[in-house]
Amino acid sequence: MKKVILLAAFGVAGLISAKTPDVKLSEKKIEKKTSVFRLCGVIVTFYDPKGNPAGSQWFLTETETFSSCQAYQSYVQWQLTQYGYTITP
Amino acid sequence: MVFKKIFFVINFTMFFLHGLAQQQVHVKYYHVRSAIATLYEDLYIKGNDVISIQDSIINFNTGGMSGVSAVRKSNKVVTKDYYISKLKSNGDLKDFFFTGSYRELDYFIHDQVAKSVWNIDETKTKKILGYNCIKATSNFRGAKVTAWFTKDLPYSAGPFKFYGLPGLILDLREDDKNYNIWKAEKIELSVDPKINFSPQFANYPKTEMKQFIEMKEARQNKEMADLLGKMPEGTKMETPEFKNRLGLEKVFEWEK
Repeated sequence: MKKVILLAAFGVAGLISAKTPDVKLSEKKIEKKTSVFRLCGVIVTFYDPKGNPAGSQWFLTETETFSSCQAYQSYVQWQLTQYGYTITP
Repeated sequence: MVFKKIFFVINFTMFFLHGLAQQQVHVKYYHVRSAIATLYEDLYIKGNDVISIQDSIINFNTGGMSGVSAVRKSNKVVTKDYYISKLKSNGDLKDFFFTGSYRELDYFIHDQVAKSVWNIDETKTKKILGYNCIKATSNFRGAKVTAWFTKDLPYSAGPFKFYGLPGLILDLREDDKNYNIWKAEKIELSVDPKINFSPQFANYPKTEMKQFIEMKEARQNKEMADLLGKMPEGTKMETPEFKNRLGLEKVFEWEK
């Protein structure tokens, strides 16, 4: 009986000690991931059909890479065309 | 003999003043409306009547722009814009009736424009189309502007909604901008008799300037909110403060 209790105690201790590094590892991963996000944006000036300026807006988000930022900017412009605007340049 | 001379001078002066009151003038301005659009504006003055007409033929130029320009598409034919007023005004406000568009609808709008405080610098002069012009500066609805006017054409008028100088404005531009510019390119001392100084615009909804601006900006804000909903998750919109109202009219009398 004593042997069984001893083995169980070792087992629990082993599990606890084994879990801790896992948590630390995932924390490290999160830290690494958030550090590479950058603010990405596109400024849009809106005009009416007669060329009168109607306003100006920044569309901003956070992206990981330069190419994902470019993709975001293209998507904003595409969405504006869907909304009834002609985009230039 | 002396009496005859005095009589002649009085008669001549009265004839001259009467002639001046009936004088007519037409000025064609080249107008840079915005960073992407240019057009012509024709100002006509006859007696006490003033009308300025902005052409419907607009030249769009997007070369060399920084950022993205989004021009609203329209299925409607672009119309001319009319600015109607009288030469003489009572007090410090002048009534303007003008046409303006929002989305697919044209409106006939009543606006009361406060007389600008002009700083005239008689030492700064230049010739425009053969007329001696004097420099004047002012703040027009929140925009710092510089005008060149001529006393040789003694009409207190100009393009768009400008007035208040002791002579006709032949050049006007917003300071430090490469748009909001009016530059006289032609002056005629006659007006085409076909020019109608009081067009009615019976089919246009009539409104006041304050209501028109509030309606327009409320719809624009709603549209921006709708647009934000269509953007990828996490998108934020920010308005550059300095560019809140990009047109010439940045602050209105009721907002002061």
